[in-house]
Amino acid sequence: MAVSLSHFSGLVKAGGSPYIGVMFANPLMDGLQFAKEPSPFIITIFGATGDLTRKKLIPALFSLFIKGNISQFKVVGFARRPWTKEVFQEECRSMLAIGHFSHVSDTQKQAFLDKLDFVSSTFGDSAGYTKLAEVVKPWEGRLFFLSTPPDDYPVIVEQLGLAGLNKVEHGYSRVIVEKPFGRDLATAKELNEVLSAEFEENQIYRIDHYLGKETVQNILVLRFGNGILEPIWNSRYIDHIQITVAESIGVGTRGNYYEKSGTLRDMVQNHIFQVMNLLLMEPPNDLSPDTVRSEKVKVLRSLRPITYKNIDQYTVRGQYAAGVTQGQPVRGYLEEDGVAKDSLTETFVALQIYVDNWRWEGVPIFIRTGKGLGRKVSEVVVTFKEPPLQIFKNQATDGSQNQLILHLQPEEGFTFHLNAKIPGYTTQVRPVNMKCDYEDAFGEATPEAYERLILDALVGDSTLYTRRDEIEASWTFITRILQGWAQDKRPLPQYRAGSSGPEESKALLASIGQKWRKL
Amino acid sequence: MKTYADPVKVEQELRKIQQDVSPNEARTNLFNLVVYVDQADESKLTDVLNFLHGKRPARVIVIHRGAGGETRTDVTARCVTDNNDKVLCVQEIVISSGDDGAGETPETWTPLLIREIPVFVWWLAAPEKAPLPEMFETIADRVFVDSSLTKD
Repeated sequence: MAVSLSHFSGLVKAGGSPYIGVMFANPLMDGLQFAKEPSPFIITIFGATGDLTRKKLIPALFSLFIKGNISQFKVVGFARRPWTKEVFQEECRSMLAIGHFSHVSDTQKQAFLDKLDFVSSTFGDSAGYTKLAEVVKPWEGRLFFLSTPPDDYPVIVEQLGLAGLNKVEHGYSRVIVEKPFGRDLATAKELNEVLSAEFEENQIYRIDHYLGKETVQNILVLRFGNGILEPIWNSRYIDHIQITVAESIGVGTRGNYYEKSGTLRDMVQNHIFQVMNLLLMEPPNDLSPDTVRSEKVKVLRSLRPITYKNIDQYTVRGQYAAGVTQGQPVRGYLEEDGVAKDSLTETFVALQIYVDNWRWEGVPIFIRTGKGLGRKVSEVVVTFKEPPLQIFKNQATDGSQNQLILHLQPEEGFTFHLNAKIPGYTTQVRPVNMKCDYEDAFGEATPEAYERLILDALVGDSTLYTRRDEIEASWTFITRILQGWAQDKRPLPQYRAGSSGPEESKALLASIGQKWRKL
Repeated sequence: MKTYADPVKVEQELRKIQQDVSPNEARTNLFNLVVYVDQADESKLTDVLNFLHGKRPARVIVIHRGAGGETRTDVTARCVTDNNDKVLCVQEIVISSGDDGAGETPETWTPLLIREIPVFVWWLAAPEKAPLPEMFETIADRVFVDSSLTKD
């Protein structure tokens, strides 16, 4: 009997939002995957000759194009280099030559490249914006992506305003702002002021690509889409939570940038706090952008401040020394190009955080992130409390607490550690794993974060973008730590590259009789 | 650039070897076993690997100390098909630690461990040169030291 393995599903409308049907290679996905369809739009990428454009933005737009999620659009590169439209198209052709797109026909690639244009101009030259306004004029949907160093944001935003590109009579004009969004509370507020001088808050999309990751979004589904977890998701049943974002590589050629940033600014204030907010927030009434974001802000406002008085108790910093990562010898941070020999910039940070609200009172949240660690891994470990009475005498005391592990990357899925009887004539107990792998469960690789985020910005859904008050609340907490560290001039603890971080970080978990999960 | 044991290449090679041996579904590895061995004690190691073969699927990382020359890594897998047509393999990763001793540092081999399953370290070399047990605090679930190899 012949079986058709693919078919076309018709147009569907749900909840008043327009959706398009998609041709599925995987019939099991039928009914599961629908994409929002943006109206015709033009996207201008400021800093179009940079790495983000090459590695993420152009591949994401092309991916949306070949999947049929976007069709009527134009992409304009805006940068200082004296490129022409043709040069930009050829550069982008090389960006699409990567293995991921090797199966795509040249015809499809050319159809995409034909939609590209380029404006060569400095960011402060109003003539460049006049040219841009001409290109943008026929389009009612306008998206401006600021993929430049943050120092360039004010002038670009101002020039967009002067050229009248911040408004459109029919349609929309939106601006996406990349991280870093400020380097402390004061600079974040300044940047918000700059943006709000030309754009309304509902036109501003502050991007954090972590929120575009399927596994991060799944935290909400796991928590609020299942009846089993939410009743035990509180201080009564949860012992502690660990959030780890470990990178195996060092700073490489980015020593100059990293010296001004450090791990706390680079990873915690944005990516890790987004994950933490989703883990700790109260159930929202609905999934509208402001409802979800308001709940996230409440978490940030409930964080118990860490100040110079308790900074040694709740924070640990470190710098990687020479070692081996991913099978290759690497030099220490202080030997990297662009790094001061007496640098106090941290490449590792561990925090012990408390959330002073009804649900989480007394539950420590441990955060660990750094460069030059043993393995590239991002994950959340929720450790539950012991049963009230231990009746199995042979149960190992170490590692026997139930754990839910959310694998964010590179693995995507989750694992439950439960205890089970070891087969045999005695009742011996040891932990076993119940594992769900996304790719196995859904039969498809998850889309890149930027695909989802760009698509959301095009349809005006800002749920996965950061609101002004959220940014300022997170910087309020982080800035206190930065101020506390600024008073401490001692050299930072060193850890061998390829290890699991400085020995000092173990003390945080040891304070509650626990250990970090092995990397 | 010098490479001692590239985790991506090691995984690719092991996958290829297992597929070559049998396309059937492989049983999940149950544990990691890391063995530090001096050249002279290799026969003991062979006995252990022969014992594991066909019984428990596992990843075994063997670190040959004092192998001389450049540090290098070799991979292989010994597989059998069990009664349920599933492949049961002992994956072997052998790191020959060269004159620089790079193969012996945990940072070289920890990325090769399979996560979520126990890690046993077996010190089958002269214990006088063994690192302190604290070294394994964040890596191993159990550390075995063979007291018969002590000088006293």
